[in-house]
Formats: sequence, C-alpha cells, structure tokens
Amino acid sequence: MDSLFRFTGVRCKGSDRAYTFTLHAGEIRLLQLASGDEKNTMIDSATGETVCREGAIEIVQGDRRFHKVAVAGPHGERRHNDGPIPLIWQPVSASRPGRVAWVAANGGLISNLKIWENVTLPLWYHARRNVVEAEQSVRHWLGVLGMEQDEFAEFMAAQPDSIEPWQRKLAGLLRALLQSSPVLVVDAVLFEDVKARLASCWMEALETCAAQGRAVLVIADMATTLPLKKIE
Amino acid sequence: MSSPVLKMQNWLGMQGLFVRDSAVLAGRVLFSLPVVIKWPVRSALLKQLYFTGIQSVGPITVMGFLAGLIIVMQVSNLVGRNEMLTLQVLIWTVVRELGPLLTAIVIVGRSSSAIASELAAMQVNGEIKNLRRMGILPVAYLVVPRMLAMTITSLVLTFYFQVVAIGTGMIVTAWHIDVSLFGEVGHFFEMISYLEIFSASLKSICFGMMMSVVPCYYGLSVKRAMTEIPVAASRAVMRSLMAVFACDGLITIVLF
Repeated sequence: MDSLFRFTGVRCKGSDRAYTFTLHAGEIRLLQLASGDEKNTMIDSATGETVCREGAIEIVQGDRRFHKVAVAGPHGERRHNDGPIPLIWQPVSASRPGRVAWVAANGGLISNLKIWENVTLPLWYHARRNVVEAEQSVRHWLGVLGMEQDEFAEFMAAQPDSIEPWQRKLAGLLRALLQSSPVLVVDAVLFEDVKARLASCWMEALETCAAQGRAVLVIADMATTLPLKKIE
Repeated sequence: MSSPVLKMQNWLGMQGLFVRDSAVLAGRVLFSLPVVIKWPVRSALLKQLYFTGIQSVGPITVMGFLAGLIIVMQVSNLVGRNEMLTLQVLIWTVVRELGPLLTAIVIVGRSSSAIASELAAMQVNGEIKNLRRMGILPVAYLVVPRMLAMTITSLVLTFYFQVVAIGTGMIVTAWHIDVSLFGEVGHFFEMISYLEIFSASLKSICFGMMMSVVPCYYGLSVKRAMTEIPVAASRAVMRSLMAVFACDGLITIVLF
C-alpha cells in the first residue's frame, strides 16, 4: 500500500501525548483526542493552516496513483522502473494548497454562496474548471451519499441557510469528496445528529473514496461509536 | 506626561497602524492579482461588479442629473448669460472634483458598509477559517474581487456621472441661455484638457482602491463577537470617506 500522510511526533498544545502514524492509500482511521481545543488544533495542523508546534505532518508529493518513473539503464537507455517508487515527503503546510480536503462538523459552507458554488469552490479554485465533469461527479457522489436524483437541482440551487443541518453536512462532505485530494480530514461530529441510515451511507461513501486510492483521517474529541480502526 | 498628550499619542499610533495595515493589505491584494484567472474568484468578481456597479447606476444617474442642473442654475444666477464661463465652471467642478467624489460617496454609502459587515459576519461564523482550511487564501478569494470590482466600478461610474452631469448642464444651459447644444459640445471639447481627464481617472482609481481596502480591513479585523459587526461597518464607512477626501486633497494639490 502506498503511504500518503505521515504524522511524526505531533503533539498539540496542552497535550501530553505525541502522535506518530502513517496513513496509507485505501485506509480510513480514527484519531481520538482529549478535547475540542486539541481537535481544532490538530485539524488546523492536518489541513496545513498552521504549522504544528512539535513534530511534523507530511504528505507525499505528487499524485502517486499516476506516477511512473523512467530511469536510465546500464547503457544509458531509458526504461520504466517497475520497482517501488521512492517516497518524497513534504510538510503539509508547505505542500500545494488543496492536497488535503477537509469536512467540517457542520458542513463548513460559505453562507453567501449557493450549494453548487459551495461544493465546487475548492475543486475549481485548486484545479481547472470543467462543468460537465463536475456535474457528473456531483451526481455520482450524491447517489452514493443517499440523495435522490430528482432532488439534485433544487438542492444545488439552495442557499446554505435555507436547508436542513444534515443537508449542510452532506454538502460539506460532498465538497471534500469532489476534490481529487489524496487525503480527507473529517470531523467526527459530522456523523452526529443524523439518521443512522444516512450516517451509514456517508461512511460507505468514505470507504468508496478510500478505495480510489485516497486516505481518510477522522478526528474525534470524545468517545465515538463510529466503526473505524482507531489510531493508538 | 499629561493624559491628553498620551491620548493624542495613542490616537496617532492607532492611525499609523491603520494606515500601515491597510497598505500591507493593498500590497497583498496586488501580489495576489493573478488569482483572478481562477473561476471562483472571477465569479465573485462578476457578482461584486453587479452589486457595486450595475445596482449603483440608478442613484448615480439621479445625482449626476441633479448636480448638473444645480451647478448650471447657480452659475447662471451668479454670472448671468455667459455660456463659456458656465461651461468652464461645469468642467472645473464636475470633471475635476464632483465626478470622482460624489461617485465615491455613493459607492461608499452603498457598498463599503455591506462589504465590511459581510466579511465581519463571515469571520464571526468561522467561514474565513473554513476557507483557510480548504487551502483558499481569504485575501485572494474575498479581497481581490472586491477591490478589483470597486476600482473598475469607480472608474466607469465616475465617467458615467460626468457624462450625465455635463450633458444635463449643457441641455439646461442651451435651453436657459438659448444657445446651440452642438456648439456647446464643441466648446466643451476645446476647453477640457488631458490633465483634467487624467486627474479624474487617477482619483477614481485611487478612491476605488481605498474604499474597498478599508472595509475589507475592518471586516477581516473582527474577532469572534457579533457585536463587532455593526462597529466594523460604521468604522468602514467613516474611514473610507476620510481616506477618499484625504486622497482627493493630495491629488488636487499635486496636480493643480
């Protein structure tokens, strides 16, 4: 499995524990922290908004799913290297913006943008705009997330303050899934106060996302019943 | 040291910080200008052009019409039936001063408080933090389109105001003094100088930048309290007006 995201001796302010672990492609892991403050600090560090005080959070450089390395043979000829690709780690705060997608507890939508503009904001900010591809991708992920196709147009044209809290959460999750970032950081509160069927759909969506060669880190600040492998 | 002196020192220090921070913000915006090629920023720019520009056309038309009418009637009362002097005063007042200044006042009244309160509300609701966590720079996504839109709007609306005010002035003069309207238009183009056009353009561009940077600065300076939003909005309006008048005075002193 390809390594994607690495924590080395990361310690949050006020915490007596340092975290060292590596997330691989296809993995979904739960990081349980002691308090809400610690969780927020960790999310800030994991998304690259701030540099962590102690330790390092690093992400693999480049998109390893489409990586082929050409090497020179003994007689100078070019050939593809079929061996393991050397990993180049880069601090997440110094990496290209948008390489870590983030899902907020309440969706984290921007209030003066419609849902469609919200979900495509990071996608089109960090990459080239392609309406057809984005629309197909949104329809696909909304299906996975358990939304009916006939609700699509109305939902996308709505303002964030005119929809239900669970719909805002869904839009936030959809926004992160649409981004082609190798790592997703998810606030575990996202799964609270939503119907069990929906929560299960969303967890399946994260599994589908991970199966595409991405890694998902769910961060919680309290005991959670989410069926995920904990980082010890 | 006496208390008034300390207060004065504090006040001057605060003004200095405000000027420095606003200048830093303007500099960051200028360095971030290439971000306009990104679709979400362009989309925000188009929205701002609509809210700041298109929606201000009505008030600007009314103010331009009334300004042209009032100036011509007052000058006619003062100097009598003197077409050339009336036209000259119209150029001096509308092109050099009133055009950029009244347009800026309309834009500040309509948009500066709106920008400051919108950004302040986003700050309080944690939306600015959300943007940062998504790897989107708030200056690039929020301030660049607002500053560009305000600057473009200020330039275009100043020109529009001048056309309406001078057009109204000419029509009223032609009707009041009974001279040919086409003759007046000819005289206008003979009288107006490139320096006057340059000064009006320079003023409107500088005003546009100031009345966008100041509300953005106040909007983004808000911390986490709802009560800070109206304070930021009112400060943004007052400071924008002060900045516009100070800049107007400076450019007038330098150019004329």
